[in-house]
Amino acid sequence: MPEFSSQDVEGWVDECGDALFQYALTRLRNRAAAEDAVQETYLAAMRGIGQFSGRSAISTWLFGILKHKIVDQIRREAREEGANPWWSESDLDDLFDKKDHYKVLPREWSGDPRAEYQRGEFWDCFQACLGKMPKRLARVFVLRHIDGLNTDEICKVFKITSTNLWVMLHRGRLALRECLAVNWFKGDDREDS
Amino acid sequence: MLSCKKSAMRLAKEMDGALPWHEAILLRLHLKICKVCTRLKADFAALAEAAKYYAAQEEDGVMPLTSVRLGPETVEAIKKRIREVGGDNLL
Repeated sequence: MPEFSSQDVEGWVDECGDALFQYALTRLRNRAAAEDAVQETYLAAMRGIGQFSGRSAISTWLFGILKHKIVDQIRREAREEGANPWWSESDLDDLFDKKDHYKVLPREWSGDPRAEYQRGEFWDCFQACLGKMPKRLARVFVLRHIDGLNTDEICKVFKITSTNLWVMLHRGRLALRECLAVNWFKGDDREDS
Repeated sequence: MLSCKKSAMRLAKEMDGALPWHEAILLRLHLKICKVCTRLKADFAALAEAAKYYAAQEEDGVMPLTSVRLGPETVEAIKKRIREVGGDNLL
């Protein structure tokens, strides 16, 4: 069993504090909340250090603690807030005109995200766009596509039907896509259908 | 023929692997003639792929992909709390 001093734990802040913070910010969307979550993670690590076997990397262990905290918080907020968005979770009606065409045509992307992976600014933009989206839409997008949860798991968290979820995922993808179109892939004009 | 509105829902179901084959055929027909939905389908797939890449990098070591960093004051505050909780003793 390895033994650690609080100096060791301080070193872990330098080592992986930023990575933990990014992880928390992507999911909690608020700097103060994300900073708190990171601090709580280190304090929980101090308290539970006896459980750290030393078999896994320190960062893996810290991420495990942080993930539990974030999942708890998302569950709690989902419970407290209930569903009261300005758009309906049960249909996409407001996005379409009488002929069932998109009222606002999606802007063209001038490029492909795959070509941008190596650019840090792209990920800043990606994260900023997630931060600007309505909270529940961003939440379901992150849970589905970054955390890789399946439909049933997400529906349970928010107590919604799969139809509700598909509506929200579609709205979320549209919003994220549009935000990237405006702020990264600056395509100039809307194309006629 | 499916409308864009109906296709939107079917695109979402398809991405979740929940679109029955007979609906998939209708969707494919719509995509053949609709540039907007075709573009959305491709871009949504690219978004999902980007999110997956992002996820893979998130815990992969020490450097975050984004320029998001804890400020020096926050780092100091966290370390201070660690010292308060831990003292100088071995934990």
